[in-house]
Amino acid sequence: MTLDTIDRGVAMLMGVLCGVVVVVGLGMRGDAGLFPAIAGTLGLLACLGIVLDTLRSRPPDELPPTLPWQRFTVWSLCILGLLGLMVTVGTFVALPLFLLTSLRWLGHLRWAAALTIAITFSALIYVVFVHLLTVPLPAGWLVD
Amino acid sequence: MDVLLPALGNVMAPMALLTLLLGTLAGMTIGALPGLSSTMGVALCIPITFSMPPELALILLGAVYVSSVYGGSVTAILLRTPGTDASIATALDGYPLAEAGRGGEALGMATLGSLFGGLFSVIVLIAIAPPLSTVALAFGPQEYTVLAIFGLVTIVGVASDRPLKGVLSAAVGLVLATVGLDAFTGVQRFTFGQSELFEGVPLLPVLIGLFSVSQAFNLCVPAGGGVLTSKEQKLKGRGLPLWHDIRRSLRTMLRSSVIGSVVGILPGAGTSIASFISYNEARRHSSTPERFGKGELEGVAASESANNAVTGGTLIPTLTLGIPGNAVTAVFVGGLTIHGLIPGPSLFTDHAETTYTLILSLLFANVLFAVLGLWLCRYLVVVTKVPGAVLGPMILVFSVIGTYALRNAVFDVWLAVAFGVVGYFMERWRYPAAPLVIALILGPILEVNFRRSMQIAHWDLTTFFTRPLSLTLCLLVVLAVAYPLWIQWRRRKLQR
Repeated sequence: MTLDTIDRGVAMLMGVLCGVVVVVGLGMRGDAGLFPAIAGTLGLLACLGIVLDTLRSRPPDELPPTLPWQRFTVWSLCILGLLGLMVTVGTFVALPLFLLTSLRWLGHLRWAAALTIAITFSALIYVVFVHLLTVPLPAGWLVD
Repeated sequence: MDVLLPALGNVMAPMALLTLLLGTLAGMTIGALPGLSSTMGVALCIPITFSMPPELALILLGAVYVSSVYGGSVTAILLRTPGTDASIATALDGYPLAEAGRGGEALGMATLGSLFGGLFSVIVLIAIAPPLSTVALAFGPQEYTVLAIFGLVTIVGVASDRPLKGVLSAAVGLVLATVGLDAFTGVQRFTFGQSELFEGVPLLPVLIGLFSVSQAFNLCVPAGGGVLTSKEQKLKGRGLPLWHDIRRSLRTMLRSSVIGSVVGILPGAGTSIASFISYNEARRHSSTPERFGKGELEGVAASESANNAVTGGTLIPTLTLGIPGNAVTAVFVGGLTIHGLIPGPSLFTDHAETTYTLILSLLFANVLFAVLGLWLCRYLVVVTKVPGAVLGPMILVFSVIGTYALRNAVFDVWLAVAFGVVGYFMERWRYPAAPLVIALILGPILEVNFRRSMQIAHWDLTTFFTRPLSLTLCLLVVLAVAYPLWIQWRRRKLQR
């Protein structure tokens, strides 16, 4: 997929969203919707400009590097797992697990190295945020 | 002087010096790592500063900012892998010098150039910021409206090679800035019933998402996620350039520092632009221009003086007018606001001691990175051997926990991750993130002051042209729009 095709898709999607912002803005009470309507119109005009720009004849744009979907999905799942586990099981169970899986699967580190880094970094986070900055990080089932 | 002495006392306190040291070391390391930017460094440090007194917090952020710009030069010279885009021009002559066995001299010149540029820009900051803040006290809503438009127009113009993408990014930022309860009518705008959004889209999670979480994606997702650079460093020869070379480069350093400071003051233009302009100027004024690009110490001095001179310059409009000129200062605004400091003239009246503490700490940070740089630069290269897929998860964990620490809200963490994904694809598809962030900051300033102006002037738009200050700023806006268009027109004409 060329950058022009992507730009056209982004412009269309954002154009629709900006159109919705303008319509909702114009329906707001008083002058509360004035600024959203102005910002939305600006966005609409930019989208229109981008679409027209992509239709102009010019040398083909270079292709963006291919997205490694498999790694992107694994990494996104790891992050979703971290956020989900943080509030349920507790931050200091979720953190080492997240680090261990990411370092092992994405960084291809050996189990021992991944485990050492995961535990050391989690301990560092504990010292800095819980001990020094007294941030009440989600404890999840650890406390319940 | 009434404020300078207590501020100096703040900087000289043992805890402040320790913070300065840690901030400088962290900044140098972040700067040396290819792919990690000054913006990301400052954004990641904000959550740590949350429980600090404002003075210490600003010392840390300032130290990370100035030293990260310098840190990029080390890997640019020794590995031809600029740690930040500010040091791309440094690599042009730095690496050939390193290859010729003069890496130590090149690093020494880069350090001296950075020190010169950094100190020069802080002096400019001290000289210009207080009088400018006095002028800013005379600003009314009309002036602030036009000033915010000026900030937006300039950042859009230079943030991308396709200005329309910058406009779209800024428009999205402006729309996001309208989220929350309207300050004038109390109407809920685009909150979807989420109480976390009643006060608007929180700035810091957006900043951390766009600049840190997206960077973690950039490090982890590429196939291999390997070592940032596997090149071998070429640090040989003497540690400092000869006095003759330093004296020869003094004029270049001064010229580049002036260019860097001026470019820094202009919204939108950043460190890389300043260093390339200065590099070209140094070559134009040199008696041996043919040596540039093949290993000329003056080229290193020009680039490094300029990029470090930008740091003080960018803080002038940020601190005095509350108008951030680039992504780093936008993050800086976020750092100031979580400590209850509202960027603008009040920083020099109500919080003068804290503000001068920041300014003086920048002086100290410049000296400190120079001293540490000469000593530690060869070891800094080691950090580039850390694989991206190892660094990425750590940055993500730090971003997630840091974002949570801001308001103890899981909602903010989700927001940061969502903006991280958005930022990742924006970078891939070449949509600049800086206009979005700056529009998010300037949006409320623009809206509140525009509506106030309209209330005062009974919806008469000529109010922006009847006040001398406002009219001058309007002319600047016209200039900011017309100049890039004129350049583009001239380039097309020449091509024909």
